[in-house]
Amino acid sequence: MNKELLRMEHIITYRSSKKILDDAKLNLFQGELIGITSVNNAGKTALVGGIVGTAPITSGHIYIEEEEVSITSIEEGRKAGIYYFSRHSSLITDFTIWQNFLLGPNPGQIIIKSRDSEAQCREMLELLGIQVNIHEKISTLTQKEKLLVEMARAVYYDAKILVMDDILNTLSATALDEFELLFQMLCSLHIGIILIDNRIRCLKRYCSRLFVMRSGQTAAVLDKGNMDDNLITALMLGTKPAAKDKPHIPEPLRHNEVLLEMQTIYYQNILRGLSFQVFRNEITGVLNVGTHSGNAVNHLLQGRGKPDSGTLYFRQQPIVLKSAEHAVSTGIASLAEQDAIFPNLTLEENIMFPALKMNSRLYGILNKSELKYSASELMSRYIVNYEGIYISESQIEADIILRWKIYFCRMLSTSPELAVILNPTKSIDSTSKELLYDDIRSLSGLGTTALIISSNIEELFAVCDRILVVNHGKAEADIRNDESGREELLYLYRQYLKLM
Amino acid sequence: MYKYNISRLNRKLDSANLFLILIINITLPLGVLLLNTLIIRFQLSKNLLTSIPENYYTRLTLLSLVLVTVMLGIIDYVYIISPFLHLEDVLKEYANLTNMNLEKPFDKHFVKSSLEQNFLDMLQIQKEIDKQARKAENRIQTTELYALQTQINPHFLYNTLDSIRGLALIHGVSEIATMTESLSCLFRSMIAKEGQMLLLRDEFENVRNYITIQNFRFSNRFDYEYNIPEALMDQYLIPNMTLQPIVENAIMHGLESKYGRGRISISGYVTEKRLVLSITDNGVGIEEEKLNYLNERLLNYRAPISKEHTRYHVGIALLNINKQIKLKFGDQYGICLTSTPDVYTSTELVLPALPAGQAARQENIYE
Repeated sequence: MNKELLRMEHIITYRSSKKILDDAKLNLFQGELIGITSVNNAGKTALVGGIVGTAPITSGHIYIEEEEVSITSIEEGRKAGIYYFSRHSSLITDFTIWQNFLLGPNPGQIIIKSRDSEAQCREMLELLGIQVNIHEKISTLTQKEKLLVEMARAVYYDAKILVMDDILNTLSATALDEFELLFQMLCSLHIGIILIDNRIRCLKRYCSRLFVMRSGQTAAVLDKGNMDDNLITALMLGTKPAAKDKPHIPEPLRHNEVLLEMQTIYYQNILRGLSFQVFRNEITGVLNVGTHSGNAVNHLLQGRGKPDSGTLYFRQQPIVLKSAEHAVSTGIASLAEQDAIFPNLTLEENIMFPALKMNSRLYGILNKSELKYSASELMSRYIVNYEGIYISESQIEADIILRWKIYFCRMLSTSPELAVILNPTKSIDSTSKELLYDDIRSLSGLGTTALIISSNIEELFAVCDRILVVNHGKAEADIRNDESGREELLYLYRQYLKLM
Repeated sequence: MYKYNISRLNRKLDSANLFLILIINITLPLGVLLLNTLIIRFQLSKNLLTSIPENYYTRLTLLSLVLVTVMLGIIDYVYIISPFLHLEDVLKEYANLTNMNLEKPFDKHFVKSSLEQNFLDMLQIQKEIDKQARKAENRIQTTELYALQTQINPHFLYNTLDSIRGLALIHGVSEIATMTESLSCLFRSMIAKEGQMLLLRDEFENVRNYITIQNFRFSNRFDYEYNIPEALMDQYLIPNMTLQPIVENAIMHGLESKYGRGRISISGYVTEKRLVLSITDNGVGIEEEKLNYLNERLLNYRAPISKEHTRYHVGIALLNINKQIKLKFGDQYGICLTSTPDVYTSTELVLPALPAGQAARQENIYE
């Protein structure tokens, strides 16, 4: 008989009216190590968020040791013995290891006996094979040591379940070997471990079962014997397993003038010789296989960073973007979803905010008629259904589509030649996505070139003319978005998923 | 109008009115006699000095008695004799009706008293009761017949199948012998152990027999494997014919239309409270929309069946098993589906962990 530490059934989770989990499930036995994998944004982190307390579930059942529980906060998660580790360490860097150990849930403990707690801290670190001085500051530790200290602290506070989210790829090959032994030791202590990653190879090495997620649902649960790469990628993508022969790669059409070119760009050890071209009046997609290359490209095009080496050409002229303002004045605008929308300004004013400087004359006198004309043109095209002049704070909060459309109009208010959009529909529910895809597709008709950076392959299929695959900071394929191109892209994507 | 009024009056013939008629019958002659006496006394006092004819008293009394008799006769006829005459007619009508359709309405003018109406109602009720009794009797007879058939037919079927198997062995056709044996075993379990709890091993035997038969039908196209700890097979119970219909579903909807070999695997585990079995196939899978609908139906098994049900061509076997499990053991148990078209379908069956040793006690709890 197995002792079931955790069981999640029929889990549905909403985040700001978007359904991010739809009938997902998960279970974990005592002393078992399981993996959760999927392509990006399929609900891995949200699912564990239901037990960790970071994303409380909307409906469904959670059983801890076969008793139904409700977890609505991180504190409740920790009380249930569930500890979560991500790339961002929860340790306080200015404190020592021992001091961080004391920052756990100590119910009813008022006086702490230093000697005893120090001894326990040392004992726990030794148990996990961590060779560090407990009076050393966290800031002096390596990434791996920080993770080990966090794990030791969790075990010290009687953790039952350890959840490690996207953490393995920060570790070296040697560290991964060491962790294999550590996981075995933790499992022998009857602790259950959940590893979340999209690197199949890495997970297969450690896991006894693999939960594959797709579109917020648990698509399959595979035993060790069934963890075939082709099957896993097919389950992740929801399509048939790849054909054995590599399909023919058609050459992309390149008949337009080059608007943007990146030539052997190196940037913060993320981009490693990235080269690609964006043609005028086309919608180009960048499929971000890893999670960081796309962000780095966006940073460079927003003028928030300078390449370490390599050249960026815009309108076939070398250019170094110094700031966001400089990027806008050059003709490159980005969709900024984090920007504020002001309820005390009219909708027109909110939209034309970034274009004020461009439409002002000497002494800051605004060309109001020009601003008004541009705003009404954008509104009549993209915000047809909204009739109000002002937007209330509650509307801004509730209507995610309206918010997105305002950001979209803002981006276009400066009449950019190149519009850069990062993960366009990441926070949008599936039914509303089509509306936004229509808006993005309309850009090429307006003479605006678009660069869509995303890790969602379906999204890129929906809007792009061609798709570049960027992996480990390099462009590895340039594919036309037609039937054969899509087949090829899926083939490549599966290969990447298998190799990761 | 007159007829209507009479009818209304007649309808009031009940015990209270009969008592009133009795009082009228007694008091009216007495009253008339008293009135006669008073009139005579008044006439005597008025015409004391004048002479009164000798037969005056006799004539007055006789006339009064005639009038009273006629009046009482009319009242008695209308209120007592007439209803009884009608009642007699009703009885005659009923006698006729027994050979006619009971649904035929009675003549409205014919029914004139509540007595008659009550009697008619009673007859109607009696007739209905007779009708239902006859129906029930027929049903009992049919059930008895069916029960006899189910007793006779299986034995006949088993014997026939055994005969076929024996003949096949004599003629050296081992395939037919094996197939017949599988079919016989499957029928025995389906019929003789209907509604019972079986050991996991017995239910897996049903599945094995079913797959053996289907493999003959589909030229050995299906591989079958199960991964259940051997120790659990004789320890835990499962409702009879729970796994087999799920496997049948996997073959019919998943593997039958798949090109090439199909694989069905069953894995499972037991926790403190649950027995979980997963039936997985590599068939054509279920489309996302249909899968979501099915899972919704499995979860909300009490909801009425909508139009979508026919649109998605959803079978009822899976839904029925799920409903039976939920009704018998509780909402936390049941069936859940996961699928990827052309890749994989898995049916997870969650049951309470019922150890065989505690079978009787647990059955009592859940009954």
